[in-house]
Amino acid sequence: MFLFIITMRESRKKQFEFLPHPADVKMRVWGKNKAELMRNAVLGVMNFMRPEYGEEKISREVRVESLDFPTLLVDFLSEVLAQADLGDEAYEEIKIDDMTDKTISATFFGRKVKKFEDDIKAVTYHDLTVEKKNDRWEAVVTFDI
Amino acid sequence: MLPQKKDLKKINDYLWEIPKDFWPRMKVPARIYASEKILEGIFRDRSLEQLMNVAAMPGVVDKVIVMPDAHEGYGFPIGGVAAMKLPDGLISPGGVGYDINCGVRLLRSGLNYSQIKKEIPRLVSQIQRDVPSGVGRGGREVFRGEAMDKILAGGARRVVEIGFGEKADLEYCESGGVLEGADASKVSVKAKARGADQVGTLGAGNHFIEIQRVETIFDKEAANRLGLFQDQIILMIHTGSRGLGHQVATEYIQLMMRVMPKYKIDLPDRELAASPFDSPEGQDYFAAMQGAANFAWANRQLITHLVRGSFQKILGEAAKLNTVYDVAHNIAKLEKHNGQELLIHRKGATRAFGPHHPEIPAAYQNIGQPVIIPGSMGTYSYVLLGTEQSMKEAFGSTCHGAGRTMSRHAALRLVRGETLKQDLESRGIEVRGGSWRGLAEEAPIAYKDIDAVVETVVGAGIARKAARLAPVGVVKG
Repeated sequence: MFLFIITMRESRKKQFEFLPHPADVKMRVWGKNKAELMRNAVLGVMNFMRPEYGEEKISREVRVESLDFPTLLVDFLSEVLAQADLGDEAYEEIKIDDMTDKTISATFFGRKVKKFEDDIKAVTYHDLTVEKKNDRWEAVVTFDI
Repeated sequence: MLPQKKDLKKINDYLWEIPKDFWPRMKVPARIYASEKILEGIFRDRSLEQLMNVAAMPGVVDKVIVMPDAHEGYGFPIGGVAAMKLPDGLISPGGVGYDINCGVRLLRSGLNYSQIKKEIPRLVSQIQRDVPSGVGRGGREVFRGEAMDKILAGGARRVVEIGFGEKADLEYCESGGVLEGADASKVSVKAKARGADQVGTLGAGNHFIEIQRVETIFDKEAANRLGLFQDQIILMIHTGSRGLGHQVATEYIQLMMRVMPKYKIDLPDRELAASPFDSPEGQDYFAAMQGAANFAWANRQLITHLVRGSFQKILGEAAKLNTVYDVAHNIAKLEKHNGQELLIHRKGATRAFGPHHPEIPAAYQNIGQPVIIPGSMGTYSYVLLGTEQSMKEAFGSTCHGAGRTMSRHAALRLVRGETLKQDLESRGIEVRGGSWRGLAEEAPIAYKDIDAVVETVVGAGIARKAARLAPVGVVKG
């Protein structure tokens, strides 16, 4: 199993890992609260896509509404993919400005990219789980690649 | 609810059935085209459970089908075919796939492998230069505003109109390279913005351009009609609707999930997000999906133009490429089968119309519709032909490719990209492009045996073999 670990100032706990699946990729992601879960999920997506960064710094504001918290996670990541594709950019820091179980507003900080090494076609609701386990939030999301 | 082999009815060596009464929610039986060995593999993921869920969808007609390259997907299994009655059978984006009109085009040259063998390294390098691939690399032609709307409306035909191709390319393309029911206004601004610089780009993942040679001809008469000969150099393009298609699929899945309660649609799996075909949402999705399908055909058409340029740059003015055929393998279409107008979902399955069908080119009327089956990297591809039997029992459909057996993870553990590249090159296959990880993930070991998949559909009678193709150069996204 491949483990992609990035240590951040706030938390030394594992943020995400990638799991075996026949045709696609599943990501398991953790967070000490819902906001951190969302942020780590974005970092996981960026990690998978392996951006080759350029110089120019960018920031991007995003707002997403959804039916419930699990679908919000997927819809948020879909928006991340769309913005990254539109702007040829990748995100290194995510600030959650406002969040409920059905809405999220965030600002992404990152840089333009020359290319991404790997592609995610879409974020799906396939086998989606989002739950609280042992005081941490844990989600599993499937990407269509 | 999960079926085991003992629950299946064996119809013949290549066809099995989960009877309708196995599970009360099934409205029709589920049929699986598979050899015994392939069937055992299919049990390892949730393909059959997903297929049974499709059989439970309101409006489903006659039977649901999965092909031997089956694997678990989003909602529908990959390799799935499902027909819905009109006007109000369901239309489901999961029954099409995220990469709308991912498909394959085959081009033939007048050249022989031995004639140009020394030039192949330069040729693949040229193609890699001329056709942007990978992620985050845009094409040279940018389409915004009205120009984009015309692409969505006109598909490959529009690309030929503006000077990037030949009329004959359209004649030898499924649906003439354009679905007339497209409505650009049903494709979002965001989707169009994503697609603006993606016409004429390869994408990544399992997309590729391959230079191949005709390794075996199985049917001489068919080969003559197709313009194929032994050791001929041919070229295969495998790509789809890029970010535009993915965005359309994502947005309409989101929409349908929201409106399903109002239609009181009772589905065993919420991933089968769907709407009645004649609902506003169903019609909007169908119109947008056709736009995305047209975008994919425009893409393959512009790539055709670009590789023609690559060929001429390296091999000279006389090196021409003609389209043999172009097929979609993720799409929903209105078709008439056994006297009934139906909505056919094909997700990881290819149309395979039999001889004398009015929709196939005049030159192919006697032999049936060509079906281009791409193998995984470094393995054979096939040209098959549609049959009358496919029309009768499989809604004129067959498999689409090899199908994955192994997770990308597991493939990565077993194969190193650099080693794979060396191995391919030692077998005379030039490889360009993609990351090392991408190469390893697409290694043949991760795919079902293409020969076994083809033997199944041929053994079952829903396709027949015309030619087998061997790769000599690969440009990967």
